[in-house]
Amino acid sequence: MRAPVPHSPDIAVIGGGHAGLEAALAARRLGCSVALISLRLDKLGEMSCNPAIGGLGKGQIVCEIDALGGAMGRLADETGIQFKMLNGGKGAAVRGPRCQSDRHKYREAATETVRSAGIELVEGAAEGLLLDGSRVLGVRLADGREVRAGAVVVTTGTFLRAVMHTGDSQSSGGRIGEGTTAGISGDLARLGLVLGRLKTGTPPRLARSSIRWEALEANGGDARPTPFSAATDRARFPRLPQVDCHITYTNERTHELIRANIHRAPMYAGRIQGVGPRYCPSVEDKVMRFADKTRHQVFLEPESLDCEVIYVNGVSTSLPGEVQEEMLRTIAGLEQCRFLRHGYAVEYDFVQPFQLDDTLRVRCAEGLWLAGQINGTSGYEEAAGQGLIAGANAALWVQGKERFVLGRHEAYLGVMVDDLITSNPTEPYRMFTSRAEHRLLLRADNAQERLTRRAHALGLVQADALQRLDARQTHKETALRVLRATRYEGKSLAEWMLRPECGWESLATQHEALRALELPLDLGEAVENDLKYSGYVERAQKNVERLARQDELEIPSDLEYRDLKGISNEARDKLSRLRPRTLGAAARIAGVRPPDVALLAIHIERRRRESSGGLPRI
Amino acid sequence: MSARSTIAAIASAPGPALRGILRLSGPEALVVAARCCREGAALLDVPRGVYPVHFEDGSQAIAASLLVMRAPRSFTGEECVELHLPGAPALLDVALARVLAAGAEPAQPGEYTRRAFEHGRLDLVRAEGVLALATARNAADARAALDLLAGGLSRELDGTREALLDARALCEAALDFAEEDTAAVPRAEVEACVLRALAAATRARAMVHARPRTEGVPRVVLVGAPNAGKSSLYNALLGQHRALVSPQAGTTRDPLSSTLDMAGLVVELTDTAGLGAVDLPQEPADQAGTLLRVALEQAAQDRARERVAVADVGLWVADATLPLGRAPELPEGAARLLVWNQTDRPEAAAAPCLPGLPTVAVSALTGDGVDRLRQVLRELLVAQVEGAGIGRETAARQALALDELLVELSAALEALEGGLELAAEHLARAQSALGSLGGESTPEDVLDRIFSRFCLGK
Repeated sequence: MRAPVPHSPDIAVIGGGHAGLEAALAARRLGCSVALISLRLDKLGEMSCNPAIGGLGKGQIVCEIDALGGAMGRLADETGIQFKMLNGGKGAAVRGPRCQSDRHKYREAATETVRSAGIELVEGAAEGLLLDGSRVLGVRLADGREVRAGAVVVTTGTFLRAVMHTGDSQSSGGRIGEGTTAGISGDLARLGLVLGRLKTGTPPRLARSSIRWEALEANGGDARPTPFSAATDRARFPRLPQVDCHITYTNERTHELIRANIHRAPMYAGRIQGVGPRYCPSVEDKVMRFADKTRHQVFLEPESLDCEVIYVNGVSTSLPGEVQEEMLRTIAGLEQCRFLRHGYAVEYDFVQPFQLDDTLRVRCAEGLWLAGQINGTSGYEEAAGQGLIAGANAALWVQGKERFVLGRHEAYLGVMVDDLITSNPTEPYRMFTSRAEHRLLLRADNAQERLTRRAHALGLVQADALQRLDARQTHKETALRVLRATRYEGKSLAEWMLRPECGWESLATQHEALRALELPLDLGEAVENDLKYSGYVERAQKNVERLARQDELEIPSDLEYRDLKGISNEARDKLSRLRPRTLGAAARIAGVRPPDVALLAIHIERRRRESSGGLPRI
Repeated sequence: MSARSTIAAIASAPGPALRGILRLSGPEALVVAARCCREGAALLDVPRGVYPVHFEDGSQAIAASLLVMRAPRSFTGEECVELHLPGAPALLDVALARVLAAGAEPAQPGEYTRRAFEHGRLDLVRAEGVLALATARNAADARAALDLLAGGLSRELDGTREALLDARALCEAALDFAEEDTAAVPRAEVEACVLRALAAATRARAMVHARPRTEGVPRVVLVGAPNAGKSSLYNALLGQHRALVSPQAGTTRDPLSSTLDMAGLVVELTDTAGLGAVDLPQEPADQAGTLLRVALEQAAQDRARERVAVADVGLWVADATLPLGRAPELPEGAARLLVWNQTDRPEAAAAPCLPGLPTVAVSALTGDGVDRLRQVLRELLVAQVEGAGIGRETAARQALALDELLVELSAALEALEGGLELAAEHLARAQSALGSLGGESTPEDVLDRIFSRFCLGK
């Protein structure tokens, strides 16, 4: 039985992955009616690759999504079966929360979240866009139904003209057991969008009962796990029982087998043209490119608390099935392993993201937004973050409101969107903390302070989020006062805190005044971080202010760089291709020099004066 | 419009002169100037005017004039002051460093112009012209500066960039790939990279400080066909017989340079061998002699081209009795001036009038028009100087950026004691300082290095 097609929702979202969910939810929070179209409604919030959320750079994104009212952090907290703060010993700005998830429970929780949010769910294959010239009117489904909408957000992930490879065999589809969406690809090309092709892969899945666990090194989570979401009740966290992962290693025999069969890998046989990610290489790439390494780490991660499936992290491969089996059986603990599914590589279309504006809107169309892997990114968190930005902006546009854009100094989300629209990815884009020039400002522990007030003003979060933030800031200010007022050996505790060996925890054990505050540890550490980074933050803020004026000046979207006299040819080429929206974005493009920017500024001013007619042409 | 910074730059022409001018513009211009003068707070609320002050450079007080122009009645439309100091280049460099330390920021190329335009103090055509010149001038400037140092500076900067990228890649690999067994980076290895960067940057800094004295003096080069009268003009401009002249083409072999002072504006004037085919004497000569002569001529022309390639202004000297040949090639951004020479000769044609090519008719022999030539040349040079922070100011910016680079590298070394996170921050700042010296690197460069070195990714 098919559900009836909703009657012209404000927003139609194609795709029920992490981008699609956050897009639909954000638009809904802003008061829009939303229809979400997915190939399979039993796969909403599916983790198609590793069963984990967060990580370095990515964990910060999850906290930002949470601070903007998104679902990912809360879902991860509810369904996490191992929580770990990566880089725990290395300084707060590079710490990234990560968790292993029960992917079935995650999917159930995600489905429940969209259902209870009042989003209309439509099962079906989106076959194309309803277009009137470049104006997008809605979505056409394969079975002939149409969903007419005020704006459309496309989050089709790896499903555009997707081809899966295992050894010599190829099949069409973006994920095992599911179809592909070729029609949308064609419509995007007809709109004049330039598409590219990328490659990604996934490792084999093994049966839990076939692994010799006693031979393996266990790898547990943190003793005191930290949740992603500000809304998660600390007293009832973690919700699910916590489990270990296990580590094993490839060895010379594994590597020999790979080398002997390398001609059968699609990448090496030339059957895959797409470019794969360097940060997530296939095991054949690892062995071929780093021949001197005698072993590579392999993580065995449970896909859920109780199911049989074990995800074999570290051996992403598209070698033929029988080679995969032989290869894994050379590894300690996996001698008798039984395959539930072979690894495979996926090739898919993506839209070169320089064709989007800074809200992820397609510049050459009206009413069309793109988010997630379709923009050449990788990762659930990157996808979810884009979904939120795209969904919120589609809603704001339909409502005739001001756009919502985050700066590079405000959020990793801002860094990501700016990176995407000012470059052409040659591999799937993944967040790294080193991409953020204001890394020390963008900590996981201050995401609320950075974003929640703005989110509340927009309507993305409710009053309760603001109250939590207010309470948090009151606590922090009290703690700061106590730290400044309490003296020890001639120095205030705030001064002591600046020393590397002193932290909130160690000072609290020594000083009753701090203990008396009864602050939760993570809040105490947030105070510690605010203090420790204050010098760096101050300087970074100054830098940000200096650049702010440039970032505020908008470049007219129809500006002809051809007419711009005096700028260098390199700058002209890059500017006309990437079409930055603001002067600041222009200045950040490699090859665009300060005099080019000055000339551009003057040219914009000239146009403004000419078009306003207020002043005669000088 | 948000509050803006206060910028400073040397505003007088490069080279030794009677006086040098330091210009400040922005809301704090007067405050910064007051911080640098003995008179201090007494200067804070003075009206527009000229005030005798004592500029303190740390060790001594120098008598100077302070020209105060209050907003909006100034060149930029902002609070604007000029410090008029004795024109010694070294002193001006110190003074610039002093006002920068007192809270001003170095002016970016074209920034005064942009501010003046935005405040409606400069019309559009002029602003665009000035900035277009600035763009060209910067590229030419950077090349000339590097040329002057025979590529030494750029080599050291490249070395710094490489070592810095290595250091950052090591840090970032450890920070961004914490789960990898490969990313356990020994501190000593990062330290070694930072030390390498520090050594190269220190050498670069020494080079910038040891620049030859001629650095920053505009180079005016006489260029043209053989026998056009370049050497005669050279002598006429200098007012003395420095170059050997003869009616025979190819008399000048080696480039000859002198300092020419034009009412306080000092330039380096260079006479070069004529470019183009040379008529060999008709009388029979043995073949070896002819070959030697051709080889010498070739070498002379090569040396002439070397000088022309670094010219700020090319004086194209043409014989008024002959048809105008092809314009000599000048470096990008260099100004060109046609000198229509030998107008004393009866067969001389009238000077051509070509668009975009200022032309002065002279007779180097009689001295007719030479004063006018000096005047036009001077105006051209002043326009170039106003166009952007150039010459000495480029050097000042480079020195400042190198200082910052060194500070950040040392801070990174120190921060390594406490861990990688803050060390990485200082390394990133060092990279951005290096970027302003033309050694730009992007986060992608860092990632490239990480992936080429480590096998990463679960």
